[in-house]
Amino acid sequence: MDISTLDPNFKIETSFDGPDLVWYSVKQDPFRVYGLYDYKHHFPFVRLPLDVAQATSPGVLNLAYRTAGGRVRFKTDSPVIAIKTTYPGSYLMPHMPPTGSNGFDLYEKKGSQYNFLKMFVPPVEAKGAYDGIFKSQSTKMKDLTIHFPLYYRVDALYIGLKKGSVLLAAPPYKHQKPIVYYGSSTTQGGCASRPGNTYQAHISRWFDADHINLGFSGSGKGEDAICDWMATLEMSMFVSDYDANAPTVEHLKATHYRLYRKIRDAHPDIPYILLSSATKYAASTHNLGFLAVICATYEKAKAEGDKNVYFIHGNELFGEVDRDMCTVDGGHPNDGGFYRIAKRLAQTIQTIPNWN
Amino acid sequence: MDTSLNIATIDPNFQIQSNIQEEALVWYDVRKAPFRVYGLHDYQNQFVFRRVPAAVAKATGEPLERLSLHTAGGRVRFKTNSPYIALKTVQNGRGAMPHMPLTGSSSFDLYEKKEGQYTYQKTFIAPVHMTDGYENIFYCNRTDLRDYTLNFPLYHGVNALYIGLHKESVLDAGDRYIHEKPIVYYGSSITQGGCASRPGNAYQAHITRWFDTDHINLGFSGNGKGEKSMADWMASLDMGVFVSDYDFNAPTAEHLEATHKPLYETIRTAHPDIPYIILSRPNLTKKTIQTDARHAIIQKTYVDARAAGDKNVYFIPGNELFGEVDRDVCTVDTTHPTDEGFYRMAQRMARVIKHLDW
Repeated sequence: MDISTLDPNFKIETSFDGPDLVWYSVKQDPFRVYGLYDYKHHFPFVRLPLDVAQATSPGVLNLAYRTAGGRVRFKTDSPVIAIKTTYPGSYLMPHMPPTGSNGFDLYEKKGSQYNFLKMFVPPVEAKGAYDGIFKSQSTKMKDLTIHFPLYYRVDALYIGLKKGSVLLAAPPYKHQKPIVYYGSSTTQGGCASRPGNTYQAHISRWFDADHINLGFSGSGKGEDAICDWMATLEMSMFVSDYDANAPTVEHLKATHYRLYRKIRDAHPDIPYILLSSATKYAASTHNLGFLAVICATYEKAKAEGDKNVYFIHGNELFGEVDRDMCTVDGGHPNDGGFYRIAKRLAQTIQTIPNWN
Repeated sequence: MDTSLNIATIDPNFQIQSNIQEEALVWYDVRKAPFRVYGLHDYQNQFVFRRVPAAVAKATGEPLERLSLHTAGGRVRFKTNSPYIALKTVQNGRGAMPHMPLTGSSSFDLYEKKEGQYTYQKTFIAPVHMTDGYENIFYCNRTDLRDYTLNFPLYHGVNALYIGLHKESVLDAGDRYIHEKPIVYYGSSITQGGCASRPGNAYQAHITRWFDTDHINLGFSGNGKGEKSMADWMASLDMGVFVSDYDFNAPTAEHLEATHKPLYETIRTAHPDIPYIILSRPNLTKKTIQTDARHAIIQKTYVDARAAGDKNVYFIPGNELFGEVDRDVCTVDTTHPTDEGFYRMAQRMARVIKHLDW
């Protein structure tokens, strides 16, 4: 499809003087958005139905709008890729840069390999919108993935391509059914420097798998409402990264196995991977009660005959050497920490039939 | 002889306003002994912390005057058995950047050294709305004597820094480094630590902990241009090793050619016997380096030095700095390293440094 034949009936103002661009909303075909819920019908983008979020907690309702795990995929031969996004005003975190919380980054898939092409660096003070442009000389067909921000709301996203270029749908993932991740701020991607450096983004590229990020900063507490909804999702794997936000050991005890049971009842055959926190148990013995709950879920599942359940101890997630470099604040992984988590998780995923 | 100092016997004759609710807390200015500040120039006599003498910075250029006030590489070392470590800073503004968090640009982080091993303890996170500094307290719940290193922010200025300890605790000087003569690093924004998530994750910070060595970070974001005024001043420093991480900010290849080898010669003339390590820029896409004119210029400095009989000069091509696999993880914006990128740079450099005779 030659995009000059389409009618982009909206005017996009940008900060750069560029070539003659044609703008498209990513909600329209042939773009395809992954990791966000019913994206064609939601403004702003959301990760889960708002009634489910509302029934879960005020925190999850707020965080439903943070676009962690969102991606848009398409193919084009345009040498320039511009983005324009509209979102609310300024939002700055002290331990995560705007590139991670508010920014989009771009990868190209060549063969089976994804390459990082561009960080569309947002301004420190976002004032309702930002834009960015990737310029290359290449008029070859490119298979592109753009990641959405991890900790911010996105009202709309437009892609600008050089007038006259070809725009096509990207090929589907090898694992088109998503891996669903449930958990805390770490799950949500805090504090990656950019969206492409979360652990899920690595896994998605290495295994060419779709995913849905249901990490909720401070608010992943295993409530019935969200667990029931997650169980209804079509998925190829479930990763329970849930322990950091449970307020007490008793709370975790009451919710952790229950989450497993709900997902397993709905999906008898998918791999179910249990993680414990990478930081909660390494420094002290103070939190070992939480860890015991996770181990108990695992043991009980095994005892019940589940042969497709896996457990990775949090202390293994950062590897063996120089673990100190893995967090920004003792609690939240940085890019080094996320990379190590992804490597450890990949070790387990590789042992699963159809995933090696 | 017990050289330790009970801080209750010291008169803290300055008033620090603080919201920290600790009755027994006493504030100390790190410019005074027994604290010892590393990596910052003449810190006891400067009104604001700085990396370069004001006259040298001025002679080098206006941007460098501002950047010389960024405290990259600054550290304060001390020992205490206080059950908590409080911190209070005086800073101008907040130093927010789009691709580097405040934890890296404007904040301090703390390490403890125990039996030769440094362990990360705490990031004193600067608040998002910081206007003139911040304060924070770290409860360690320990009363044994600890050897601490507190790293200064990478991309922001610090006018004053106070450490708050329990008044009945011991305060003493930190251990000396094994290599007390600093490694001097000269270069760009990458050298300065952009975009580490916190100061302790800059590549120099890793090297400093692994080898227990002092260092001076003379990376100047966008402004490491090999100026003669800077080179002459650097040559005057007492140092153990020099690392030339100078490539990126030379405005043209011609400029680099006119300044890269002269920098080597200036340092080498003043320090005939120290190891001189040359880096070219860390390169995300490996193949481009072969055709990179800058890389060729930098390599020529090395080749010429070896040919002239210098046996203590080393060269690490930039395309080796990020290792072999998953190099994409190494930058935030295809240029500036992430914590993973800096860690890999440090690992690659450590392979050279561990063989040095120093």
